[in-house]
Amino acid sequence: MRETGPLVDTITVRMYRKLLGDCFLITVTGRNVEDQSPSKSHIMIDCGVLQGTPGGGELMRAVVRDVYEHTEGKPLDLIVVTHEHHDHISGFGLARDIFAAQPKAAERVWFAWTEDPADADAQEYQRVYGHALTALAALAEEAKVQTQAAADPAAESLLGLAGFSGPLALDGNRKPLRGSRKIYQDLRDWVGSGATQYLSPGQVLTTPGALGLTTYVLGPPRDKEQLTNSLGKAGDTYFATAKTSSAGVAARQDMPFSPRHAWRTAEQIRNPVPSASESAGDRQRSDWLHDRYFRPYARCTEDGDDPADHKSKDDNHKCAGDFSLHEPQAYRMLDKIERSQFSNLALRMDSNTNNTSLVLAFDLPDDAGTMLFAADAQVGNWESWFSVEFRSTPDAPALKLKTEELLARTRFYKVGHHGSHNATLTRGLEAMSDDLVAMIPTDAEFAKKQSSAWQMPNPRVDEALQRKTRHRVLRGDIPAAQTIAVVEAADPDLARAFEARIGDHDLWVEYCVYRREPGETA
Amino acid sequence: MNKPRQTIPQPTRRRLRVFAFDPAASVQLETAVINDAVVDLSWEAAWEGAIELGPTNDYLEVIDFDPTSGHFYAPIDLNDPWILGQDGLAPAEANPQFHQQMVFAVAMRTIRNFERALGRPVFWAMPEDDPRVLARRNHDKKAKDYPPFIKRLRIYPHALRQANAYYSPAKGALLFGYFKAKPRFADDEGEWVFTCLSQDIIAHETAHAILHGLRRRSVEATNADSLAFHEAFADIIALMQHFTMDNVVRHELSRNGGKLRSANLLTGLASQFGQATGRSGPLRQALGILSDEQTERERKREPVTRTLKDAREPHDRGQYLVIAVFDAFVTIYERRTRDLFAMTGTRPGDDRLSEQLIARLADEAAKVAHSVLNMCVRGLDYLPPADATFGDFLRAVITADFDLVPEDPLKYRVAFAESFRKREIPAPGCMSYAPDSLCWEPPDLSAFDSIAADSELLFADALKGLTLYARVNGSSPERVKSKGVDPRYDTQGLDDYITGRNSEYVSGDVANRNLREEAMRVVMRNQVNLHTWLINPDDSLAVERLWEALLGLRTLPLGKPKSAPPTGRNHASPKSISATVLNPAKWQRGWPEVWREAVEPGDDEALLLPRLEVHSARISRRAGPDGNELFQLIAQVTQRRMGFFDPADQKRVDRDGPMPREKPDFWFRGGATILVDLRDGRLQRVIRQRIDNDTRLERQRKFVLGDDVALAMAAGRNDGGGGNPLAVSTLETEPFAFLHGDG
Repeated sequence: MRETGPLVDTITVRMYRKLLGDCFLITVTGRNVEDQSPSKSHIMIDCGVLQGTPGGGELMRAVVRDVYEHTEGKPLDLIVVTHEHHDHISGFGLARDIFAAQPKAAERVWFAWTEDPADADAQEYQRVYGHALTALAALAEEAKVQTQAAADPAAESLLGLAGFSGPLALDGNRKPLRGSRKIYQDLRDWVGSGATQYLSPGQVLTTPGALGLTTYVLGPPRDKEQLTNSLGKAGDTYFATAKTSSAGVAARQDMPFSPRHAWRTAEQIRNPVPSASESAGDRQRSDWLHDRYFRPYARCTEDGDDPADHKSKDDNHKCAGDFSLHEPQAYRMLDKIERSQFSNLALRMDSNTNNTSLVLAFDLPDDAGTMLFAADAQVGNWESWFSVEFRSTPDAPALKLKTEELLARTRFYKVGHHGSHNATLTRGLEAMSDDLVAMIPTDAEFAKKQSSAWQMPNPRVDEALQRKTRHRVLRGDIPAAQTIAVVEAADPDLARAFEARIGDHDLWVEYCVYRREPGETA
Repeated sequence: MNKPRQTIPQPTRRRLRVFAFDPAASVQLETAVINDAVVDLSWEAAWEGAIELGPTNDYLEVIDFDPTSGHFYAPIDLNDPWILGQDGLAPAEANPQFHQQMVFAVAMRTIRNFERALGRPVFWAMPEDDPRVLARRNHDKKAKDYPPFIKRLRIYPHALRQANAYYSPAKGALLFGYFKAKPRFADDEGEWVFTCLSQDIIAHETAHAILHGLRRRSVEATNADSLAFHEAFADIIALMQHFTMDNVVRHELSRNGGKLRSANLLTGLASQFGQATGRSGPLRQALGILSDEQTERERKREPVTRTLKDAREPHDRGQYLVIAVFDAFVTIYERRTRDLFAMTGTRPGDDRLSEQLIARLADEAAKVAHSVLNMCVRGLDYLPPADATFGDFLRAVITADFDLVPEDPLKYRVAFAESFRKREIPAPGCMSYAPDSLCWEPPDLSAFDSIAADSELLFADALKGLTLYARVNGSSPERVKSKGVDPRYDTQGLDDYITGRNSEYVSGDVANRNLREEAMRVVMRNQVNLHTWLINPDDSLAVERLWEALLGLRTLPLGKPKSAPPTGRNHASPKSISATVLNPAKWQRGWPEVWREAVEPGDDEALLLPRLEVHSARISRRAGPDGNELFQLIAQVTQRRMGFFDPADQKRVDRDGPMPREKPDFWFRGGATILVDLRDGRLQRVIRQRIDNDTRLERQRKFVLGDDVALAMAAGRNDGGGGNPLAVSTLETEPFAFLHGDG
């Protein structure tokens, strides 16, 4: 055992409650071996709530106040930002004044490599992502979708993406307003120059602060193909449609055919204005189209039962009208923007961003296992972990350690993406330690209100977690006592040990992942 | 133009020029020589509407509105003498009128191919966004102001500016996109690419629309195969139609020594299909796998056979269905051409085959392609009405072929079964892949023997109410009268369309009659009459129970039966099945007593009468190769049941029925496909998909919970779009926009 330096006594993970979003605070306590003087470290992982959550601003401010009360006004040792979604970062904006009022918000910030301004691949990814976002915002604007948070939470939440990505809007230069840019800049400013790090998979490093934890970076994958594949195609395609600049508007109206084929505008067919220069053939054709697709249709007012009443051949009489045309079929005309274009891109970008999640495994002292924080990683991200090689420095030889081993040692799992169906890889979960405790930051009821497709957690994932953890699944929306009761019903001994490590509060629930046994002092 | 004239006979064919592949093939020397093709359509019959501007006929209306540029392109007039005089406009990318012509011609050809196989006209599904569908959902009285079907499928050749083309069930339309391709070299502007000029894409999208028209629930994702089947089937149609293009097939065969199993040919095809959009659908991937395997073989190495279990995602599954059908096609072709090679003393793969031999081989390939296409299309009528799998499709194809062509000297059915087995596509419930064990079981009527005088004629009564022929004199048909007033009987407003009274679909005088419209009326009337007949219970509870067992449908009130049923199978019927609530206190005279007798307690509690829907009741006449004819009634009857993600909720609703306003997490559907031989009124097949099958419900629950698309679709149905036109729930009404958009 070590004779000098710091010694970790406890590691506690605090999950903030009642929010569909991630905000975690890891507290490491310990002491200096030589003089037994106590020390502490604090790590915050994400700070966000779903856009459009009623009272979300107040809640996040209460959370951040609690965080700094807990640190006794000291700076956090580390803030980890996993990815660009609103439900992971909005708190930094909503409680900006509180962060800014701190003498120093944090000593250091970790981002994923995708945010690194000095990394060419990251810049390429940001360019593609920016394009896609521009296209999406332009489509939204053109179709007049209300995406601003305050205006209409119901409509906006249906957009799914907007809920996660924040408001969609374009600035004066028709560039998308990315709320995240401001937040990221704030974070960099708060910690000061040189204190921002960008992590790539395979990196092994130690968390800053008096009591450091060895950390393994698992994701996001560096494989460009994997990250931008679907997005790239979608982005390029939609870019052509989107009204992204005034030049773009002109380009859009540009036809692939020579100008002589620009025959009539929709308006000219709808409200024909006779012109002497028009040829008889053109006239006949445009009349035909008008008659078929734009002639107003009046409902029949005669509701008599006698068929004779319906024999009149008045043009606007429903009995004479061609029902396959005119107003009853108007819904079959093309909209300006096909709605599928919008939701298609929105869905893609949403899951794409989830896959840029920074995934970290923290070592517990004395080979006691690891804690896995999976952010919102989806299948692609998970699968990439298995081919990661770990190195303590970029040039060092690869360590023998394999991801499989890290997973097998995992005793604490922060469940991916609020427990939704494709953010916990079965193969990954099965590989984890049999002494596993999981936390799901979720508000299942609120999620369901967004859309019944938002099963958070997904019953299948939940079932697997319950089995693997022997019911030790702490949730943001369920009192710890309730969880303990479920464990108790299955295994009273396990429940007692579990309960002893839990702290429950209105605003948070915490679990002591590691505690040094008294006899183990060095 | 189209009126019959006194002295000149009406033309019989209308020939329209198209690209055999797409415009890109014309700039490659390799394919340029064969890229001009002609689609030979039959001239519209006297009883069909004339072709108008657009082109517009009884099946299709091409509307060339380009929303991105805001312009209409002038509609083509196919009856213009200059166009008639040269088989339509010459293929030209730069002319939007040619685009209209090509998209119309290829879509019509696909429609005719289906009609020939099905033995009846093709109709289109009612769009989900139709005001009448919405009005019905909202129980709006205005529902009856709209006709219950759409007459023509719309085609928008320039609908989107993106690399996508899809069938939109919401609009009842095909939407074709166009886009600017990426520049290939510096200073290249990038070419415009039009999906509506790609023969395989047009055939593929049209097939989607036809399939949806035939099987309304086929666009729901209920198992891993359901949407994959839609994709793969559309690809099979596109692929088989390719092999009916004589010119092209000759070219391909002459370059490959008369062999279809050639890596060179398969690679060529794979690069041609979907080249325009870079779409990598099941077809391209299937051809890719086949050509990889063939390359191995040509290098004298045994290839690893990839099978369905290698498919990791649902959208990868479709390619194995395409491979299986293509394998069967090639096997049959090889069997049929063996003699030709033997007679000419040549062998497949020989370098210099005579032109005459190539022509005969191409003939055979076309013939086989038509047969395979027919077999696949006919199989559709033998699928269960909801939730079909690939295995169901194999069984359906085999059974349909067996019913039409009892003898199978060339072993087409064995070829199908064998190639499905090779790709490990499971056929649950079958002893083996021998064609006769793959056939759906014929219905077992023995239980009826003690009750009915002639159990073979059980359906005779139902047939009385059906119209089997178009009525040429336009006389108004009668409707079968219900025994009592059944509360489930909700056809108000339909009458007007059935009798043709309040719609455009009025039979005029003989000169102007339109038999397509008449055929639609007949279908509607048959649906209503069959529905009435199905919900009218037998006077005897025991007999009605037998009916329930025979058809696999629930018609008696839901809940626990009062007395033990005659067959062991009928336990309590789940109260989660959609039902009409009947208050016994308001009992009306004429309501069948069996309703009260059926369940306990029954006297004071509300009775839940399960609803059923007759999705289609079609009369089909199909001719087999030996001149034998099949004259059938094909009816799809469905029921639905509330499905819940939480098994506890499921149990509660199964037992107690839903709470007021309770919505399901997803809809679970079941029912039966009923085939009646109209030559003798015998019940030929009943393909059941029981609504009370809890194992299948569990399977669907598992699938939906693990699948993005299925989950969003299930949710979309519930959220109802929330009034937001851009809601993610558009998946429900535009599933293909997503599947195809996948780049």
